[in-house]
Amino acid sequence: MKFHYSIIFVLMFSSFIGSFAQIDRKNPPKGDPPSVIRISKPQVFRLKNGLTVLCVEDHKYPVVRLSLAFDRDPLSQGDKAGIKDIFGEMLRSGTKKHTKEQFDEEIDQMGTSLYSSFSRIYLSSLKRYFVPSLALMNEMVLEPRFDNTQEFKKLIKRSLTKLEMSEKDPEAVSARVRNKLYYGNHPYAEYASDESLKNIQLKDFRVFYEKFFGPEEAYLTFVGDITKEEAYKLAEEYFSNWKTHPISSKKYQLPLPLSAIEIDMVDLPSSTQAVINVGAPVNFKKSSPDYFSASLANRILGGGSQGRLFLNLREDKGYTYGAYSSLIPNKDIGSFRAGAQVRTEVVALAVEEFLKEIRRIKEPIEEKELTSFKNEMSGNFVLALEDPQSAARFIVEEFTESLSENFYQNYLKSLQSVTASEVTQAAKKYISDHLRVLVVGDLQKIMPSIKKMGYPVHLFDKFGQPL
Amino acid sequence: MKILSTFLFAMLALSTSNVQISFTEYTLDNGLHVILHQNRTNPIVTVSVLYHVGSKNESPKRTGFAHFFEHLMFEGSENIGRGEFFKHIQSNGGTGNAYTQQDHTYYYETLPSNQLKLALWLESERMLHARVDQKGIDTQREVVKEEKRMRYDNQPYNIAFWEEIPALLFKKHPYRFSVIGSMEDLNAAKEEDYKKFYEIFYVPNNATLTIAGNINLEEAKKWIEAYFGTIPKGKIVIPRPHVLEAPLTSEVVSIYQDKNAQVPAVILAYRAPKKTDKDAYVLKIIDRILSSGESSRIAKNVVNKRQLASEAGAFLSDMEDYGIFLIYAITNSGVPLDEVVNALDEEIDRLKKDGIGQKELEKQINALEKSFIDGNNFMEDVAHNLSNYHVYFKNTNMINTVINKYQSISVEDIKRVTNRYLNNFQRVRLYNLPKSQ
Repeated sequence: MKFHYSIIFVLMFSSFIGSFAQIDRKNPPKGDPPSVIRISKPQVFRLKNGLTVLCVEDHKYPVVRLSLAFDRDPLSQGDKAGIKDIFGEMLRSGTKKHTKEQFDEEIDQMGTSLYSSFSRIYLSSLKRYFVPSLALMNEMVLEPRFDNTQEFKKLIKRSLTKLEMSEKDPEAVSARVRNKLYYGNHPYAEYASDESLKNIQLKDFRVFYEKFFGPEEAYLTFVGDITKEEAYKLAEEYFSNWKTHPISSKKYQLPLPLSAIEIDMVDLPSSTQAVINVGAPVNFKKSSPDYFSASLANRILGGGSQGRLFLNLREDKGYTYGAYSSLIPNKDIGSFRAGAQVRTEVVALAVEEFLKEIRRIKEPIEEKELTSFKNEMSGNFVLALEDPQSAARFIVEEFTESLSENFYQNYLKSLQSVTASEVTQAAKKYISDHLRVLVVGDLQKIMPSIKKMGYPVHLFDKFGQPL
Repeated sequence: MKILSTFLFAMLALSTSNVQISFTEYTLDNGLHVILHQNRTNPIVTVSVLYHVGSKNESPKRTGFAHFFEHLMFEGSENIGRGEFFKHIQSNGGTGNAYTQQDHTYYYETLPSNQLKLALWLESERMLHARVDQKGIDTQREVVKEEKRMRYDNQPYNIAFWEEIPALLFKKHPYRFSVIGSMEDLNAAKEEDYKKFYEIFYVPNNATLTIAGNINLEEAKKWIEAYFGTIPKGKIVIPRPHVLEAPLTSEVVSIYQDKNAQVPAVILAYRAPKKTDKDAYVLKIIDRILSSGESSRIAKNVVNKRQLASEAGAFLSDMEDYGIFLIYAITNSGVPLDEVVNALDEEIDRLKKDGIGQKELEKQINALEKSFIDGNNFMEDVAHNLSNYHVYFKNTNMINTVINKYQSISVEDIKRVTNRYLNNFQRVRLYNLPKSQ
């Protein structure tokens, strides 16, 4: 059993406004004294089989939400890529007590929503139907049958169709090729192909289940109109007989980093716009001591509609509907990515601007700009607390991302303490000088201007194989 | 004692599913309608303004104008420089956005609640004296074109859904145009168009200001009066044309060659009644019966059992003057399109002939009760729902009573409405085919 407390502190300083109804239109009004922010820390239980259980009470509406999330090391699907994508649906394709049709009928009759994937199962139900909904979800997790041939055929057919559809989808092609180039033989690079989908057999799901579906790596979270006592009792009742199984983990090699900027191109003649993606894999974790400096660097560069990329490529140049960047932490291997969809004629110009802004984020920044982004991040954090699921997510992340114990309790303080020079340092550390520029589009039109840029250019097919 | 009994009442309300969303509303002298919802759970506030103007108010030579105009309304005002609108929101910890549809344009921002006045200032500046320069117009025109390319021209099926179907389903009503409009029309917009549009439609008597969140009601009212009370009422009568379509009498069959599609699809589109019509509620239930959840009829029979489509469903797009009821399917590899159409038609015919059972209707009522709660989880949603019920139903309290409307629907209604609206001779059947290169 763990501690239970809440921390209270004050967000941002501001001056008090005196008189009413006198307004100054010329200048933006100052804020009132800020509210006190409470971040409650829910209690955490662990069942004997290793399942972690927590509950956040929220009695606003008679609804209970339940999430069962898995935190596994990256795992390879071998020659059966695509099995992970359909595993969740196979899980709900029939249990010991219910056929798929009966199961679906009962879930829908209660107005319950149930979503299942390989990494997460999510249930949301009216309070009066919560226990029967939980019972069904529990059957699915503990007693799946994996013998529904009809559903299996459907899912394979659908995956094949999806694959076919992705052939003309520049975003899908870009993501697939990017992963291949960034991650090589790492599981993050795996993609479904005709061949791999045809390799999948019905019996593989049982094997996958036995191997990867255990309570030790799972987090069961109750949020909503339920008391902690009820939640823990239900968790014990329904999940204590979930059997543990051995966990294995493997380390994977990544491709060597680039030694210079290169431009990689994939031809998609049907595209009206080109998808530009500039980035590289990077060793960046949420537990990194400079997490906040690095996140601020990314925000300033391209975190949103006030980011430099957006202001430059959209608001100044009108090249795109939106240009953004992200610095994605991951306990195995993270990534830096910047991108936009732009019209064919301006691809080379847009790439230049991306590279320019990425160079510029490594130069000193002004205090005023930093403050504005700190405020944005603080505010977004406060806004996110509106969702009671945030409090649960924070706790789970403390475990899964190995965060310091009060990472989220200290979130606003840590953010405020970042200095301008720390942001520059973090930008230099996490955003490589040697990025990969991936362009997917109508190459016949794009190629001449790209070649003029003078960087090495490589061609790839839609699956990331060099041409 | 009074306080205590109110409190007890609130607790009781929570113990059943009878969730109530409280609000106050009033109209300023200049016609601005104000709706306030107080919720002190979290220190945040959403401020939104709904302007009752959408793409249906455009001149046919200026399609896309209402949406383009929405972009321009972020450019600044007499007191807000170009690009500063969002900056004020962001640098004070807020988020915001806007969208345009056929009937209205909606602006909203959510901020830490100590910044309520900032949001009121920004929205009142926009309403009082928005300002756009040539650079802003030129840039946003390009941005909107990129938005069109990204969301429509570079996506499979979207041109069919948002341009082809409306154009085939409506002959006279401006619903025949897509909200995003055409590039030519965007290029043709002139100085005078902007001025007129602003003067006619961006006036307090055409707007609803909704605030939801951690507010002090009395203080909020004073600030609203201070920021919005002095904005003059519009001088021009707001045109609200009533365009009536002749009923469809024979099925319209059409083909769209889609350069972005690799897999064929079919769309069946029926003209539905306006959103305030009782039958629109019934159609919403029919849409759920057909395609909401794994046990719904199309999912169960067409997708899961017969496996004719990789994806299929139905949805009602309900609008102020008419609605569009769509049924669509993306085929599985090698399945002939007409086999899918037949399977979808069988589901419609079964509804017409046999209707549904009481249990199936109860299923939908449960689901709607759940979706009502899910749809009011966040202050942004509450603000959005309150403004919609006020503007279209002239009854803000429908946020609390809409579930009763659904509960009053009978199994006979389902049969009757299917027979009235979902007939082949009243529909468009559109084949979306991959364009060979």
